[in-house]
Amino acid sequence: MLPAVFAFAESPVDVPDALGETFARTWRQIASIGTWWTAAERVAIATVARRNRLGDPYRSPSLPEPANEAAALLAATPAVTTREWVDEVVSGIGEPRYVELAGIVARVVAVDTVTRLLGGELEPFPEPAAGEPSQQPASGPVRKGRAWIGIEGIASPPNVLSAVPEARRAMVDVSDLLYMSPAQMEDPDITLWGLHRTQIELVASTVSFANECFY
Amino acid sequence: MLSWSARKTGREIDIAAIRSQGRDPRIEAGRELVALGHAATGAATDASHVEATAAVLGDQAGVKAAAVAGGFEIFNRVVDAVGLPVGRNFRERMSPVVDTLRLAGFPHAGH
Repeated sequence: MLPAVFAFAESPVDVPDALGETFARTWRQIASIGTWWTAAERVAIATVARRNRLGDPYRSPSLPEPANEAAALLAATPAVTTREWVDEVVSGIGEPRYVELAGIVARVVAVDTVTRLLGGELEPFPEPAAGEPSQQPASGPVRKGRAWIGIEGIASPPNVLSAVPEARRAMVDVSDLLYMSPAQMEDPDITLWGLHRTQIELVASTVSFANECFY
Repeated sequence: MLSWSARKTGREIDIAAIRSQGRDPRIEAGRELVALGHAATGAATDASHVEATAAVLGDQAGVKAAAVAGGFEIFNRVVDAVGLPVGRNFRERMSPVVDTLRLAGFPHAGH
């Protein structure tokens, strides 16, 4: 049974239930109480990200300006970040809040991108939950190394949000399905949903090129 | 990862096609997949690229191509948000790709 949202009824292709279920879970998570942001603030961040990704320079009156600036830039032009820019944003909202914000922006852009590619209408965000952020710290030491933001554990793409454990979990929940799990990454000859690993990587490389992402 | 998976599976892919969409990547549905990847990052995306991919590889592959594009919309943003550096070994292995795709001019190329 498909969830009430992300049914992809207008898509020209059959969409596996797992995709709609994962996206619905992502939407509920975004509208939940965060670690460092309230649910209402998280939905406001998501709205800024969605609109700026589509070229609308919207700012939310309920967010501090550094958060508006970060959500807008990370959604629309992520490659232009610099250490100085990150330092300035972090001086305004703090590092953990920046990490949580980046995770929300990235997931909103991803879900909206896939939805549009599948011919769907952008899904409204759920009503935000009430309550105060948990302020749960990272479970281990956070180190910057050569990165601009502290990371707990290995400095690798699936782990970059680890300073806020819930942000990392939420990102991996959706990225494991969209791309592949760490175990699947070990297999250069894997085929997922009819797409061979080389074809998967061709899409991945093209998106990274178009986003001017050097990593 | 593209070069790695191609080498490991004995495929020859023309990665320059990522930059020059008129070129054939020399992989099944390669032109459709490159077009989908570029369209994913634009503001005027629709289902035409998934349909074109599905016409060659089937519905599920069309959906997976869209999903992978979404997955890299995530990874691109989080690595650039935190300034994740590229390690020396990785940079050396990437060198031919950097030259072919002219990536040295990308904003984070020196990080």
